[in-house]
Amino acid sequence: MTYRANPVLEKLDRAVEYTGVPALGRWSQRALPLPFRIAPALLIGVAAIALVARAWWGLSLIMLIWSISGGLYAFGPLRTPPDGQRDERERQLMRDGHFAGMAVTLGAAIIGCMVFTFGSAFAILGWSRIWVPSGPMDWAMLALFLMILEVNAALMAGSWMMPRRLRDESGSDD
Amino acid sequence: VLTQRIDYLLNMAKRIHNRIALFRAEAGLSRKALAEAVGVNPQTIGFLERGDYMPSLELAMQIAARFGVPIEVLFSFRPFPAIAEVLRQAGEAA
Repeated sequence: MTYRANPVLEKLDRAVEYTGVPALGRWSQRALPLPFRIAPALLIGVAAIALVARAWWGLSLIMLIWSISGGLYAFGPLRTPPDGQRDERERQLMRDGHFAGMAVTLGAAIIGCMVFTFGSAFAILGWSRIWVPSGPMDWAMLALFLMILEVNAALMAGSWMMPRRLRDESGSDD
Repeated sequence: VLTQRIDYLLNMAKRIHNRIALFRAEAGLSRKALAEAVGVNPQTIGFLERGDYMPSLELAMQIAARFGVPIEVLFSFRPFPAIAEVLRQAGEAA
């Protein structure tokens, strides 16, 4: 509801609307562009640090980031509508977002494999100490990292591809 | 401009202009009513009207059928002339 008679209430109403929370409640806002572009990038960055840190907390942190990513996804532009039915635009957004996510993950996997190949070779020659996964824990973390990368890259791409918001989100105007 | 560029590269499609908003206003339909009639989200109708989303052939045909007009009356590769311009030309012709 928007107050139009009282200027103070109207400003407060606008300020609350600006946060996007009421729109999320109405399930009308399909994307909060800025948070859904910055937060996934931050999550990927922290997951990458946790991956190469090789500390005891690395796996816990990566699992925590995986949980946060799931929560973020549930509120992002690729979320499932309340009735579970996506229309053709939403299905296309889903396809395009995950295509971008898969492409980024594939690229990261290819580059990672090359780095590990040269890292192993250089380590044998004693030239460098590039991080190479060695134990089961490292591989588990790497798998989780790739999952985090795919989901968050898909979220970022989906947010990027969302058109700017309509003036009237309810769609009931003329 | 960058977003448009990326969108073009992703879709590789020509921009399609439409007159959905005009027909919808003339029919006295809300976005929600039209969306329910053709089975999409009201936001999708809004994005379609604004030209931010290119519909599938199926959706385009459904919308045209809802208004009872051929598809080319509703969608075009060329921008539609303004109503004022059409009326002026019609007035001059008469």
